[in-house]
Amino acid sequence: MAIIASNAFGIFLLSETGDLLGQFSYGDLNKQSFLDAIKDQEKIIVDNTHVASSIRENVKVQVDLNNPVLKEWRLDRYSNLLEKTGVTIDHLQYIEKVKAFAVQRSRETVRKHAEGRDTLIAQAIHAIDEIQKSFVLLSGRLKEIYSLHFPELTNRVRNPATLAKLILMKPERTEITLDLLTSLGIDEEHAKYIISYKNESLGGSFKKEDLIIIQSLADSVHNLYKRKQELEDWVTNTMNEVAPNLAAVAGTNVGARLIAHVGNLRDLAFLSSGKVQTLGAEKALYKALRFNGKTPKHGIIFQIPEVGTMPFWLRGKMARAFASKIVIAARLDLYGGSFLGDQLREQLKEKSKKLREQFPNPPKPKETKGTSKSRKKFRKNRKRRKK
Amino acid sequence: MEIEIKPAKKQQGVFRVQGIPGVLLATVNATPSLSVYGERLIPYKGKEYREFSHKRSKIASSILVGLKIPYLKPNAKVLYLGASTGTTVSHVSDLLTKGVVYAVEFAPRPMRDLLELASLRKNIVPIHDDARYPENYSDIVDGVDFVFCDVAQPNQSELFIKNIQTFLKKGGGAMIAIKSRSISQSKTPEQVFDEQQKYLNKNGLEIERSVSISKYHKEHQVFLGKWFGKK
Repeated sequence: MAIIASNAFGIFLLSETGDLLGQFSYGDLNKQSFLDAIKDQEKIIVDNTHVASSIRENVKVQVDLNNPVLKEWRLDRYSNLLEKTGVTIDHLQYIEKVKAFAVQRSRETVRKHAEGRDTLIAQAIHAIDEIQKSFVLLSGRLKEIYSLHFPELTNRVRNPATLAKLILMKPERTEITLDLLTSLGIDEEHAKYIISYKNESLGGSFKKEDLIIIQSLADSVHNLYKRKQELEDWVTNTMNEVAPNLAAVAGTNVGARLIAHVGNLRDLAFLSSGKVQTLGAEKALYKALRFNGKTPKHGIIFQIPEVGTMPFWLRGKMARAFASKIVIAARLDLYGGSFLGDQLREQLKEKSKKLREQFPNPPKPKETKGTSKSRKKFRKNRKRRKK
Repeated sequence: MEIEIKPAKKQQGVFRVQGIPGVLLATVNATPSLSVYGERLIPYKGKEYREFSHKRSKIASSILVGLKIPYLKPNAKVLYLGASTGTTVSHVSDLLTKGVVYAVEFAPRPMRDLLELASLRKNIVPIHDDARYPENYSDIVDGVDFVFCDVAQPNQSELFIKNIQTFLKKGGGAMIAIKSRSISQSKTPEQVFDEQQKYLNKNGLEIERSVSISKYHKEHQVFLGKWFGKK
């Protein structure tokens, strides 16, 4: 039996009684000299998982990670180091060295995490949501401003993106032509109506410099719309690369949203399917748990068309089926498994068909007498909840 | 009103501030003219003090409530689980003029800020690892005198005990801040705190004091205990 104790100064091979047998550096872990030294031992006590995993890879020895013998070495590592190896170093220098070692390892792991493309997808989804919010806000304002100049147009053109593009091209109402309107995808009926009012509009005529300001606002609204579309395309492409199975089962948008909600693909794959089913409905879930109410059937998963368009009495069943397959897909993607997304999707389609055949009619509503127990508890706890 | 700074009665290294609205505690700034998280810097009688915000730090609020932490001495070694961006860690590093604080954090985003903070202060050793597995970073941390745990996790008492068993010296102290909502949604806070205290006692940590800091942090309780080795 031998003891391997490690710290920032290297790896120390100690005998059972605590005598120093050898000293190695972290780079020596895979080298022959180190492996020879431990090969003949039947059991090795190791204090660290980094060392233990590399030993397990190379040599077939029994590795003990939780031995109380090591605690002494750990607790007084500095004085032990001085005693056993004869290194002359004062405490400050020792701490400096330990810190440099810790910082280096932390930097490596942080950098490794930042390289994952799934976290990038999560950020992109958040960006899309924020752009969408500001787009709705600004396009509403743009419509209000332009309606002062040409209300007939803003009433007929309902799509804010088209309106922004139109204002960007021709801010002055007298310059708008029928061809321009139809080329932007506006109905001919509407276009003719707009054109008929072009010279006798209810709106006031603006100076050129006023129109330029409106035009610049339209430019930024249009840009926001373009950025959003670019990001969405990028998310679709990257999802197909990073998580093809998940994208096939849940769709690129919902898949990316699930990843964004947990943070990264690894965390999603490690969740249980029950958790995945209610991701995005945390508020309802914890409220239900606290007051003995009904737990939610679906969270983000509701956005999958197959779940959302199901009749209400089957949605919970469908959401459950989807959640389980999503977790399988995420685990396949995490560990680089083969592409089984289409198969999983096929199974879900069958499930949906079966469910519709089995339960064609809604269940009879349960008769309730008075206020339910959960409702009473909910009311009773209202004060506590408000705190 | 004139500013006045006096040493706090119970806690060594922490100062009581009078005369600034909203600021109650402060520590001596180890890196003069540098503010870590946007806190106020207060020059007073040739020294610079940093505001120790009781609204953001659970150690500060428990000191304010009246807890004395005798283990936070200038030459102590401290293991801090759940360091986050280093708000409280920076103050602990102020207190430990000759000691070291090992700051463990698992999330990569706050870890980046913590690494930057560690580059400015000599006595912070940053560790990017999962606190549930102390054997992952056992080659970095030495025996420590004080363990503080502030991770909002359902199994935080378990990992707290695990870290104590691996790193804490005999006679050392340990402190844990428990958020009842992160342990159970359906039990009342009192039930949760009771269970946690029993669990800690059963595993050999003698609870000396437990104070509620729900005044500053919602549904939080702090336990301070002493470790006499495994039962």
